[in-house]
Amino acid sequence: MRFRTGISNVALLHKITRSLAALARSCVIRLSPDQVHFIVPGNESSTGVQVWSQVKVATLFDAYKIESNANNEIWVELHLDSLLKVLRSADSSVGSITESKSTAALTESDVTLKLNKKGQQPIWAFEIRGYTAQRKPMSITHEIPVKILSPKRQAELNEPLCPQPDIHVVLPNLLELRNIVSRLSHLADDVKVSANHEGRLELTAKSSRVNLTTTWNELNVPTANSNEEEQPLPPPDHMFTVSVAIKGFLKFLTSHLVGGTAIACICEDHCLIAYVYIGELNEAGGVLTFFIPAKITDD
Amino acid sequence: MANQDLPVLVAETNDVRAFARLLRGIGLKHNAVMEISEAGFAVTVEEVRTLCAIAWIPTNLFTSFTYNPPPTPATFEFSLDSLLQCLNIFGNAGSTSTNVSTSSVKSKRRWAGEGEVGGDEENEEYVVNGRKGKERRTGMRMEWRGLGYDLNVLLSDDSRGPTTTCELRTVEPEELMNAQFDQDDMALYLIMKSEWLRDALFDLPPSCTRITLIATPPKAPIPPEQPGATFSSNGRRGHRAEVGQFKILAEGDFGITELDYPNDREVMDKFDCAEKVKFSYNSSHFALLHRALHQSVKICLQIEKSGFLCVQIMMPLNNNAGVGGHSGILEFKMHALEEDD
Repeated sequence: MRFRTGISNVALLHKITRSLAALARSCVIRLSPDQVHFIVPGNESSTGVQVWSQVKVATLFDAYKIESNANNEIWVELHLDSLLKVLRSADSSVGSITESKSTAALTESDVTLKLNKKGQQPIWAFEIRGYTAQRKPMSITHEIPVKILSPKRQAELNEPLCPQPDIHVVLPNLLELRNIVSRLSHLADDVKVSANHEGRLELTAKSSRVNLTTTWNELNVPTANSNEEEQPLPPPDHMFTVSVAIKGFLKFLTSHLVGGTAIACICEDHCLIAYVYIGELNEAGGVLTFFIPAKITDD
Repeated sequence: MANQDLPVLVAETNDVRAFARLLRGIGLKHNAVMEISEAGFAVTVEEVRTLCAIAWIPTNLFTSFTYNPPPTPATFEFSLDSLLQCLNIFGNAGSTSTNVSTSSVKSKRRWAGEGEVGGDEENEEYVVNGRKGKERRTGMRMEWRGLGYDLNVLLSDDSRGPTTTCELRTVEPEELMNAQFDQDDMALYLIMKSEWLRDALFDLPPSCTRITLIATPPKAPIPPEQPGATFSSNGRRGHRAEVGQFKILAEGDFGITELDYPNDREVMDKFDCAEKVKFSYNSSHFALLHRALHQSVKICLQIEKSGFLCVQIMMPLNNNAGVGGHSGILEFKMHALEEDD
């Protein structure tokens, strides 16, 4: 079992990790020769939100080498906190755009990641190399313990099965949405998310004192490309609705850090699925998929 | 009646900040009672028998204000908390000019000089990222069809952005005490800049339980010189006794804080005091004034001979206020504590 890679986009990996860390304490990373999957199973987070994402290797890594006896795949489980600490350090050393004035920034820096063993404990070793402002070579190494997942454990991790979504809708700016939803959280526990084929999206929070509905119009509704003939199209103004916990919804919205286009799918009375694309939609470097379970309400 | 079908109230504005600011000033309880009249809104919050806060909200804060008087008085109780949350749904009605805070319900005790009223730290990051100095305003249309109907508020950020509708439950109001202040029975009447009082409230020790207001009329006998006091400090005390002064005294576990306001022209706009006045108030009630003072310009403080206190806080005038008008006044009334000694 060998794994060694350079991290070409530290900032993005940092952002993805931050979004996931808002959700759960640990996550599973499935490394395969051309894709990296970040997985947060449902039992990890208190709200039942799951993440099943795949990112192309080239989006994050370069000089990527992986070998194993199981289709050249390695599954590791790690604590997001420790990963976050390492990436924060790496991000400031590399001097990404957001922290360009960081004094810790090194020049000509690169970050590599290796799977090692320390005694019986498998570890991920990050090495940050570069030159200080005084042109002195510098190297920083971080090691975090990881757990290699057995094939049995791997088989237990299954992506949730969902019915064909009732509607897809491109979400408005996630940051804007996050700000609004965080204010709704002061008023109610659940939010009703509804959308129709006219591009209308509604968020409704209900409490004993106030009903509050925020509406967006003229959003893009991508048409589903499969089984269009089988089902008659619903009337365009029919609202498809799902109720979710605001807490869970907010956790997904932390992914505004990743900053891509997001599409929400409503499976009525089942779940809300949100896809957050990394990079442009058509040449997506990857997608983070959030499953937010529905709450069944009386009305 | 001919206008049976017309809503009792339709009020519109293109910037909710002034409206939200007034409501937040009296946001000391979840529920408030709103009374609508030709002149605007009077929103009252009452803490049983101890404290009464009223926000007088004039029509000039709205671009349009239509009131069709119903047969019964247009009064209802509603959730003030929820309305404030709604007004700030797009983050443009926060407590600071940079629109930060959302739920400033939790009042933080701070020491002087710790900077202006902050807000939810949690939200700060998002506001900074999201706004980038862009001036965005939330417009509002408020409608109330009459007794038994919800109060409907429609909010929008800009023409293309999202819109929010709020339906606030209204209930029949509980009876208000709203003790009237008797202008003829006045013992103290003073007007000064809000800043002076706001700074004083910053300085109150967190442990204090009792605030005492003392006013002495001009030409009081000069107090005996304190042993150990400097020449200039004795001089100042002499001057204050000469012109008259207002004093705030806070007693806490760690000592007494005393703030003096001499009746000088740069301090007092008006100072009417015939004889010495001394009354104490519950400091937790007095401290509630702090939030109300935010962004205000002047205060008018009046005390009845019985010790009943009335503080009126004036908001900065806008262009539509007209001669003799105002752009919102907050009024706090509270009774004095019984003297222990």
